[in-house]
Amino acid sequence: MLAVKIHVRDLTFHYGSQCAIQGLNLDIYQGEILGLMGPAKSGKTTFLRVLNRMCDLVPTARVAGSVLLDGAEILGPECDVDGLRRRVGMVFAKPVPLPRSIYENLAFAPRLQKKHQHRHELDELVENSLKAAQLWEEVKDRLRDSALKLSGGQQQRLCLARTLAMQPEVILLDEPTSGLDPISTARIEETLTELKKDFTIILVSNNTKQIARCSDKVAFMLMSRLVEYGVTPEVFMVPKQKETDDYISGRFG
Amino acid sequence: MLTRERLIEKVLLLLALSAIGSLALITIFIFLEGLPIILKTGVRHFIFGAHWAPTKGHFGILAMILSSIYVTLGALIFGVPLALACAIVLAEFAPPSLTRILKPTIELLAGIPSVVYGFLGVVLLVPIIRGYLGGPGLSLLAAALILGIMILPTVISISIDAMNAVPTLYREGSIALGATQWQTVRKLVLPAARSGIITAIILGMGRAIGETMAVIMVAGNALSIPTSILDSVRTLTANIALELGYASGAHREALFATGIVLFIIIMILNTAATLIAGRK
Amino acid sequence: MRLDPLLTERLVKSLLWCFTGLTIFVLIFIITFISVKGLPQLSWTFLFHDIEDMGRTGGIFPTLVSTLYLTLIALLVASPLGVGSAIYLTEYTLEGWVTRLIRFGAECLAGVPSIILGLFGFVLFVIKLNFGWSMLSGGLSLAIMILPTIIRTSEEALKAVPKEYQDVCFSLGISKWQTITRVVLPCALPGIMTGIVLSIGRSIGETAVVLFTAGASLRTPTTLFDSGRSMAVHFYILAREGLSMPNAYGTAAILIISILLINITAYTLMQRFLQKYR
Repeated sequence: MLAVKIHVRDLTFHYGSQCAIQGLNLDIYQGEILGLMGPAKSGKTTFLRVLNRMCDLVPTARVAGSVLLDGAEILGPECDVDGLRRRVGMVFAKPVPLPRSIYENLAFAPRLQKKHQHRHELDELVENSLKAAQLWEEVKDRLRDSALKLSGGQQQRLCLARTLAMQPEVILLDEPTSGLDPISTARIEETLTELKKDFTIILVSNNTKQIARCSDKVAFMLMSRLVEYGVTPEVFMVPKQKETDDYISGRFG
Repeated sequence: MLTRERLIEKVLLLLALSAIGSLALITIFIFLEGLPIILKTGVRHFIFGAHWAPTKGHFGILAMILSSIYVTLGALIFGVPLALACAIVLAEFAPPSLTRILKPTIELLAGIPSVVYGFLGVVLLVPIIRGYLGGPGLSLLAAALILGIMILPTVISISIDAMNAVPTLYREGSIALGATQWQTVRKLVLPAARSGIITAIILGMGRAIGETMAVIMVAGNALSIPTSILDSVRTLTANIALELGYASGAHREALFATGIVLFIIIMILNTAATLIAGRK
Repeated sequence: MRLDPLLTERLVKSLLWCFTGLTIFVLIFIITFISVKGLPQLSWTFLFHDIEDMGRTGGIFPTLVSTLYLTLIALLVASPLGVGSAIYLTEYTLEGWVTRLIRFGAECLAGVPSIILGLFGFVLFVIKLNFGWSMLSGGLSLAIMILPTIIRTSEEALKAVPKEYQDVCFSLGISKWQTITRVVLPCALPGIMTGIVLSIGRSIGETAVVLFTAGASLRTPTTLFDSGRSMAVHFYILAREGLSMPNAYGTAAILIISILLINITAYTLMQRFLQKYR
């Protein structure tokens, strides 16, 4: 039995008067990929943004319920938000390299944490992260080049590597392949499968086939609610809810 | 760490209040210094009194107010048609490569100091006026011409921006319907860019009425209500600048009071410009 | 009678082109005229000697020093205030009455005529705070004058930085202030510099503010509390009192050319910045 990493209870989230998540209960296990699928505006991205408190950036946001990370509440005011975000990394739909070199993109956050003062430590961290994101071979000779020169797929792997360089415990991926070609997508999926033994991964995607390929557990959200949750093959073979069946077979969404 | 971020936010808020704070300070000090004399003289006498002899206790600034208004109107009469023509040509007719060179050139000219304009007025314009039209040369006309030139860059640049903001699609639609370029500009672009152009003109007006150094040099600074455009005039701004150097007591207060009147006029213009610009 | 639209078109276009030609001719003429008359006056002595005989002879060295002094003080005061304001407006608040008030204040301040700033500087700095006619009084008054420009250009520059950078930094556990100083400000720097450089140009050319706050002493200022005349003030006095036409032209040429160079720098910076982010 895997350990519960994140424990979500009665999570409700509003943007102003608009409800984005309604009474969500979910356990997320260590060392697994949780696939989160659902049509646009169903609350998937909002859920990710609650998990690393990026939701704080929306001033009208109201959140209720409880989210425990390793048993500690993260929604309360006493939570160290910057520290939380270092433990819960995030990769966005659109790859956004910072306007710096490839090396600096990765070294930027660790250096500010002051954990890795020595050069060789940083070098090692950058190399390992790039290797884990399967980008090392392509960029090892041009680490000082601007990250903006990379292709879209490389940029997204760079963003993943940048998240890995923070040495997080949980990685949130918000439709990481939505803008990429099939080959780049395949590489990212491959990378995720490699990474899951060391991290807890939550993968949000519109692409049900991707969820079916990559995830161990799957959750289906619709209209701010969690409709179905279960082991991936089971959900895809014999969905319990009619909405899930409709969604998977492409009748809407 | 949280408290440090909070502290930074508070400090930044303080910095952000510097502009409005300065404005408040300016208002307070100008009014504090100038208001007593207005109240003592009486608002009506101060504004509508035609007699200014501060050393003898006469504080009427009607001549200055009228001169300021005439000079500004004159500047608009000379400047606005030129500026609008220039803006229309650069935004609509001229090839883009030419606009790319000319627009920044015109904007660069906004940086020429006002004393230089005034100086050129004295050495070039005034002799011409004196020679061909008579009078002292230093005149309302000279001031209006110089100010008209000075407001060109402001009005041109803002008007071009306003016209560029009109979607190209509208123009293409109009041309496609068989309208000529000028018809398109007159019936479509100008109305659509109206609020931007009016803002430009109001800002130009503010610049003209508030201008000091150029006006002092070319307007002649005589203390009477002008009856012809060749008369020598003294504007509100010139009055302050000319006498502040040696004024004291009630006289100095009267200069601040002149400042109050100018300040109020400018604030009305600014607010109007902000409202019109924000209405879109 | 109705004119044929094509004929109207042709007439109006030629008229408008004439007006444009005239406008541009006038503006170009000003620069050429001053340069042609003024550049021959420039020499080593003119630039680096003291003012003699009230400006009839000698150089303009003290006015160069005063101008630099005043501009420097103005920048040192106004840049942090302006950039700080812009950071607050773009990064720390939502659009609301506070931002509207701050922006309205900056816009009104931009419209305050220089003579009013001169009056204000005179009463507050020169008299009430007893700084006298001095570099400090003049510099502070100029700072108020350039503050709105710096706020506006910095705000534009900060707004042009992609919001995604912030999301990325926050998701990496980087604090807001670190995000601003390490990522947002470096990206916006060329745009911010444009505003600052433009302000230098304005400070150099300003006369009314400086005349009543820094005075017109002929000596070279050394301390903050020394009076001194800036180039623009010196030029004004030379021209108005007809002391020396050649020296007036020479000073005007230096004024105009330095301001144009400064503005061209600002423009180039802005173009680079825009190319990067649009």
